[in-house]
Amino acid sequence: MAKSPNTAPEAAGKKTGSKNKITLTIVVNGEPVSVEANVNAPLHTAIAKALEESGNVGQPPENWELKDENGTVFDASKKIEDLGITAGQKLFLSLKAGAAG
Amino acid sequence: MAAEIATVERALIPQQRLIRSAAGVGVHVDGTELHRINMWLFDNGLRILAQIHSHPSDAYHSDTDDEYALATAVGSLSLVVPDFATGPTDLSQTAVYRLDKAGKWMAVSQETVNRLIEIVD
Repeated sequence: MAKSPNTAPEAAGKKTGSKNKITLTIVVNGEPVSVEANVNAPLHTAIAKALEESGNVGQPPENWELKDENGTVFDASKKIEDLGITAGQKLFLSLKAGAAG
Repeated sequence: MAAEIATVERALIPQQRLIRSAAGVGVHVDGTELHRINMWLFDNGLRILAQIHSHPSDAYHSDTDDEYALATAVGSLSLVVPDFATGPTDLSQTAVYRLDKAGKWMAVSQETVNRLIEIVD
């Protein structure tokens, strides 16, 4: 594990000036990434952006799941505005499973 | 890009379960554990730099290692140690791979390994 600057994420569901846009802060393998998303788009679009912007290319987007701090999984096929994601909420993007052998 | 030094500060051993099949043995880490690790990394300001595991005999990146690696960021390292890591610590006997921009694990030459990894303790 490598040390890195631990900048506190902004509010996870911060509305931007643009209509229907929201800025999500998604933590991928410990790293917070800010992603601008359209609230009318399915969540998987934001997941793909978070992976791209954080350089996590090792596994495809469908192998990941977005959860809240309690481990509740958000349905990636649903529109962001329908998922009840709120400002200040931390979102964690983790692999569904890993293996070696 | 200028050379940067990353220091390995912690080694995490994920909760895992054994996989045994006709193809051999391995380990599986479930999503609950990976979520816990993700939160722990964030809380401690750490990132996954590399992963390491052993094989019963030869060290190489198997199809499972390629497809289900826990280290997923470009530039991550994956080390595979032969003989269930029963021998002395020796990078020359360790298979080292690095994740490229296309998401492929590429073997790292011994010469590059010697430049890339320094065991200090």
